[in-house]
Amino acid sequence: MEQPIIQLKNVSKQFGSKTVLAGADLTVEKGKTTVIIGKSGAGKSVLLKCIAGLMEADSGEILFGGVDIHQLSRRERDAKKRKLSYMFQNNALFDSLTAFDNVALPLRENTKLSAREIAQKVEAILKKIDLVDIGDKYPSELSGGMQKRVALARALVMEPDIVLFDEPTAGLDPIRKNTVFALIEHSQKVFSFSAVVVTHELPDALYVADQVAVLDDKRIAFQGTPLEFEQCGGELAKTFLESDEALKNMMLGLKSKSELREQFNRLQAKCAGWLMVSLSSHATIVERMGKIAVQAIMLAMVEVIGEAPSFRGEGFLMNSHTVMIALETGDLDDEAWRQTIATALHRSKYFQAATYREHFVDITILYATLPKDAAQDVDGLQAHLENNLSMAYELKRSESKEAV
Amino acid sequence: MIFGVSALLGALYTDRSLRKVIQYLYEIGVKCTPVVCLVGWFTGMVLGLQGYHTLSKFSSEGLLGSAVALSLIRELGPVLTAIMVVGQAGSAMGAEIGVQRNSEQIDALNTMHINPLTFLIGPRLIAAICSFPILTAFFDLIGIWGAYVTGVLMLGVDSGIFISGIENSVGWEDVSSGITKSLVFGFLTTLICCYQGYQTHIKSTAPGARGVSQSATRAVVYSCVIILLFDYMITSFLL
Repeated sequence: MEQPIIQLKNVSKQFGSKTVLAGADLTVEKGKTTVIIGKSGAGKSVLLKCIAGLMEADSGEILFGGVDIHQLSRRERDAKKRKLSYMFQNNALFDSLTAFDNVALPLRENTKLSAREIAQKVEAILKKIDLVDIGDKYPSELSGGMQKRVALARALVMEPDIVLFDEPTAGLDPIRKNTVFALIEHSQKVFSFSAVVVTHELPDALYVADQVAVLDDKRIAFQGTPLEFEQCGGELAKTFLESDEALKNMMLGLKSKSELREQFNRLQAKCAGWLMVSLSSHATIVERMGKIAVQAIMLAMVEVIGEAPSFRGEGFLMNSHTVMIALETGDLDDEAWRQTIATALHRSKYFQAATYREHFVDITILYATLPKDAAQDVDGLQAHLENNLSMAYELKRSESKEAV
Repeated sequence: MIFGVSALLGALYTDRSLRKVIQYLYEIGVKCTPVVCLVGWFTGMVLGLQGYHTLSKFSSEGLLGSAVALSLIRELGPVLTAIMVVGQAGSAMGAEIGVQRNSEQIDALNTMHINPLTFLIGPRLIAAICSFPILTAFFDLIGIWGAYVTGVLMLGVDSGIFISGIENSVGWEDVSSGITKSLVFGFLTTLICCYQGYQTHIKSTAPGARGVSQSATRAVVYSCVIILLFDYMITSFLL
């Protein structure tokens, strides 16, 4: 197994009498994105600052590539830290420097590159993250999202091996939040760095995470893949996931996946079959229109399905873009479903909103039906339905324009 | 003191400091020139007026030139120049660095492997050490001119006596004592102002904007006290 790029062993940090970290262990794998989640004030930023060297841990080891940073000479330590970059929660851009100068600063101070070479490098990175013609603007003249991108460009311009993101979406609206997460994911793929993201934005952060670490009670209480996190069923995961689920369920009038687990046997005995509707292009919609758009589409579909007289059933939200319905009727005619879903989409207020016309993306809604007794449990049922997606309804750009 | 010396040495050994030094020479030197000249002018005029009326009681009006020049060059020039520069540029330095500390810009420098002392403090110290003697010289010259206007042009002291009095009484040791004081004041006041801003998060009892305002206030008050304290110490050492 490859050596973790960063490893924290038994790290503790205290401020006066207040203990913030007590024996925290964390592993960050090379080329992966590790998301650290935790409640506000749990010590996430302190943990990140200990990794960055902005704060000294009181005890414990911080290993970079398997080597304890404290056992290195100052020169070696500096060399290790040069491979690390940090994106601050409030961007920490120099307000007296232009966007270009902010990005160029680490190059000017740390390299012997000529002014022309620096300019080329800065312009290239600004172009890569879709920031053109803003080089001569000061941070105060840029929007919050643009400032984030300038901060990201500054963090990436030295081509670091590790980038630490401290609450990169704090204070942003939902659409910008999604844009920033998409930006992190995109940059991680383009620049191949290892990322550590501190956030409390769930479940959005799970989309970009290869690993999830939960900071609770002064230590890392869980570390694993997002799937393991969702499935671990622990109290902690429930607390984090259900807080978001509860809001979504409240908006959509649906029950949660955990409620489906609890009621599965009762439903299996009584229902005529199962229907799953999933928004296949949700990632694109999130990226281009925001999470709210996905929610609006789901809401429209749930409303129409709920109103259809021949398709009564109990609905459960499996994740942000998938609804499972325990049907009360045995009528599983595909054509009827196609009509129902088409009506739902065209009724959605989202597609009528002129603001989103230019951002409109082709949408494919996948749906599948299965008879009762097709599976023994919820996960098996979901797997069956996903494997048997029988029909797809595609809403293409041209069609959407007509609908609008 | 370690803070100041390491910042100064760091900046001196960094070839990229020149641009920043020029920028701060403009901030401290050029921008403070009008206020220093204005205060120097009125100080000289007041000295000329008061000196004339005091000396005329002893029929010694001819000593006005030397009395004014020595007062300005030895004491008032370096002290008042330093206080004026602290009021204009020092408080701004404290506040600016304090804001940079609060908005994590200084932490950002650390994460970019840029030494904040070398980057932020060192060039300011160099610029202050260069600017203070020049500003003091301006203050002295304009002050003497102000005293000439009141003493010679308004109150009728003989111009030749006024100027020859200055020539005969002011020696190199007077000028060097003034330059020494201005160098020491430049280094110490800039150090205090930068240090107060740099330690905003530790030194201030209030967070955020109030912390920055506290830093700026402390920067000015401590600097003024230090100026007067060191003025006495240097004078007693040089006399």
